[in-house]
Amino acid sequence: MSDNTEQKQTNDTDSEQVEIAALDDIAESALADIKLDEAKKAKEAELKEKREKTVVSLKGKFDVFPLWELPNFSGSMSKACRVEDTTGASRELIGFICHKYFPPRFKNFRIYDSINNKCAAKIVGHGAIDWPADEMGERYIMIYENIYGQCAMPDLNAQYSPLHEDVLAEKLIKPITEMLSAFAERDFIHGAIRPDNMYENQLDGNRSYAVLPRMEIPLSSDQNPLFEPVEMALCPSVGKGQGHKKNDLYAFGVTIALMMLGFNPMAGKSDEQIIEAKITQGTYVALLGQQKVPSGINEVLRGLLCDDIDDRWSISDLESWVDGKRMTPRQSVADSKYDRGFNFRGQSYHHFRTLAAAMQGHTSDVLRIVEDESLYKWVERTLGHKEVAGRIEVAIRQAPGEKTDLRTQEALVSRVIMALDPKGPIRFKNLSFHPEGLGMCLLEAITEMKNVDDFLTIINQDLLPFWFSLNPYNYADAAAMVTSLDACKKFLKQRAKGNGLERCLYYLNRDAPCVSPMLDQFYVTNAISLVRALDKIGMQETHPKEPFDQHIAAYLTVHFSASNEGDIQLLGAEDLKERYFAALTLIASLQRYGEISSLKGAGQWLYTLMEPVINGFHSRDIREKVKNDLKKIAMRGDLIGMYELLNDKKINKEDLVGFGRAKLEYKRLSHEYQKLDRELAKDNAGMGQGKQLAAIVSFIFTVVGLIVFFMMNSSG
Amino acid sequence: MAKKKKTKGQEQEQSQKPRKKKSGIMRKLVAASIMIGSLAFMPTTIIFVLGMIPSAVAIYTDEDRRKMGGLAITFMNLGAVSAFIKILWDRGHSLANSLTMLMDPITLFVIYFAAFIGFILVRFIPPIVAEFLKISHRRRLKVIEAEQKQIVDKWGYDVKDVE
Repeated sequence: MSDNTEQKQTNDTDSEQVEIAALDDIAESALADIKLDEAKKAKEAELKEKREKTVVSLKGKFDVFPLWELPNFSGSMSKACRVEDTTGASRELIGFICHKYFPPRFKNFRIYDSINNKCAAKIVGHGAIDWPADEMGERYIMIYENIYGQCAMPDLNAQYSPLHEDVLAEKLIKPITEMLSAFAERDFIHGAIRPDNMYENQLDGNRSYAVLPRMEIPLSSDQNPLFEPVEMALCPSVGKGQGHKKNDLYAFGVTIALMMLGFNPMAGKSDEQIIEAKITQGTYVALLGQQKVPSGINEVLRGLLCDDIDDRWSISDLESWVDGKRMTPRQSVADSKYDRGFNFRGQSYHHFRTLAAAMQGHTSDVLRIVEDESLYKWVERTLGHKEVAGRIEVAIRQAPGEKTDLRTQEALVSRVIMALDPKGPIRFKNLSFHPEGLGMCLLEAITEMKNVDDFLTIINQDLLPFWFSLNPYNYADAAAMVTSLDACKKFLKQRAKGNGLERCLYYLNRDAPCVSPMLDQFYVTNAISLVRALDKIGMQETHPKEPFDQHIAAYLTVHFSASNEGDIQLLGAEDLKERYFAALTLIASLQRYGEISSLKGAGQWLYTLMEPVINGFHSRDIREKVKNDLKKIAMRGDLIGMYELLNDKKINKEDLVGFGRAKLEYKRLSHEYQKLDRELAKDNAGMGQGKQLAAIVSFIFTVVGLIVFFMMNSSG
Repeated sequence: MAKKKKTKGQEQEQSQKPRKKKSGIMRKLVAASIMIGSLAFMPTTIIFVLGMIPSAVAIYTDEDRRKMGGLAITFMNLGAVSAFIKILWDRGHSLANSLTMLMDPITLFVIYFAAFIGFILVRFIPPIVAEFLKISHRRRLKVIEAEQKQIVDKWGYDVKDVE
């Protein structure tokens, strides 16, 4: 009995202990949760404090909060942040931090600035700022007026309440048409018309929509393929080039459709599927084929969503429609579908454009169907499409170089793709781009350390002129582009410093910042900002030995080549004296050009390189004097003074004349030395003179003796 | 051209021939004058010829091109001979007096001793002078070295590059 009681007591004690342990665990986990919450809150508070306290001033007019992100406005290539006006003007601002390498649309700033429309926010400022968020150094920022309210469709895959036909016309179509009309007047292409870039316009009490300018990124570079016609959608973000001004109208058409429906009918589909649907069905059918479209809107949608540029409504058509004039747009026709498809890599293709898209990146497979003529036979005999067959023939015939050369073969594949889809972009291996986008693709390849050899082939194999010869649209800039590429060909052949692919990069992208690894912490937009960046690098404790590399030299050939190309080429000279003096000449020229009063960092940096130049003076005294004077001038940051001192005609003449004289004197002394040395080496050295003296002494003795004798004789 | 050259050469030969002829005649005239003079002044000639033997030997044996050693001996020798010729002329310029003077050993001793003094001068002065010159040359070499070093210090080694 007692044993049972003891056993029971023991069991009770055990269960109590288990309960206590469980309670302890709960208490501990609760405490841990509280601690985690507190830590989280503390971290949030710390981040909040950090973002509020991290302020950078732009030109003394704006306080930029780079860490204070405004996610509603951020895009895939730029980040929006809070900006405050410090000049006292009461206006809401929004800043966009530009991509580190892909430049804003500098060329279009002035045009955009001249456009007055309530839906297009004004650019109020831009410039490079020190970027404190990470160790990225300088970044370029664009500041717009913030007129933006709620976003129309922040997520293109989500469902929103559809806009009624009247609201759509009043709030979206009418104001945006006015904006597009203002753009068209100045030949300005927006490139980012889409619902997730469209916000209620606070300027007119949210009665209209306004579009973010997206001037901080290259044109159309963050545009969704859904809002682009096929030829543009086939390009990656940066290779789209200038595009066509009707592309904005196409994007506007898709935007109207999505906002009318309140959802994206192609949501969930990949970019390739969207493009394929547009090719095979035509945009209107692919997008709205399954939807019920109000008759009043149907007309404008059919007009704007025409896949063929020539058939697509122009801005005047849209304006007429908005003004109440009813028109019958042409039916959007999808690409011709051929019943007998072509088998490529195990799949049957019934459209030239889908086949062309499938061919990209498959050089060996394409070469096989070119060599066995199966592609040509399909086009020419099976389909009877003489025009395309003729283009393919030309593409094969025009391939320059050895047929067995890999580069020639890759170019041949690119030409065949162009022949099949002449409206599409230029496709070379995995690259797709429109002619004006070549430079940007090159910039991407260089900054992302990709293989750049493909660009050499693209330029040297004349792929762009061939594309222009096939493309049905008349490109106004075609001749200028071909001329530019001819120039690039020349740059590639030249071996002197400042040429090569780097020069092509800056020649084709005038707005691109200098992407020299040396300038990684800076955003260089022109020659002056380049020299200022070099000045800052010179101030740092550790810096590269020389202030120029291939990128900087190439950048200067494009942006500061007026009369300095010779000096730029000398930057690659083997002779250090020539090389460093050329460097000084260039930076001094930049200081003069930019009217920069002092470049202390650059001055001190260059001073350390001037030894070979100073040693160019023959006179040690002049060297010492020049060195001392140069140091004083360098400390003042006066590179012009440094250049003038080293190039001083008086000093140089004094040195040269003095050196000439010294050479002659040395020569004279050497001859004298050799003569004396030769005499000393003789056994009878000085004996001749000795005998001469003996003769003279003998003569004197004789004469004196005779005089004495005669005198004695005459007296005696 | 060849013709012209030949003509030039011939012209030169023609212009040189009268000179040679002229100098040959002059020499012969001088030699004849000396011969006549020697015969006319035979007592003096005897003393001069016998007295000047050391000079003739000295000049003949002097290997120096300029014959300065021989000349030094000749000056001394000639001084002594001149003195005795003066004595001869004072005593009477006769062959007997001349031979009498030559028979006197003092005469030839004095004359030859004078030549010997000349020889002594030639023997001792040149080495002394040579030593002085060597010292002077060495000093000058050092000065030159110092001056060249100064030039190099001031203008660098390039200054040595003399084409």
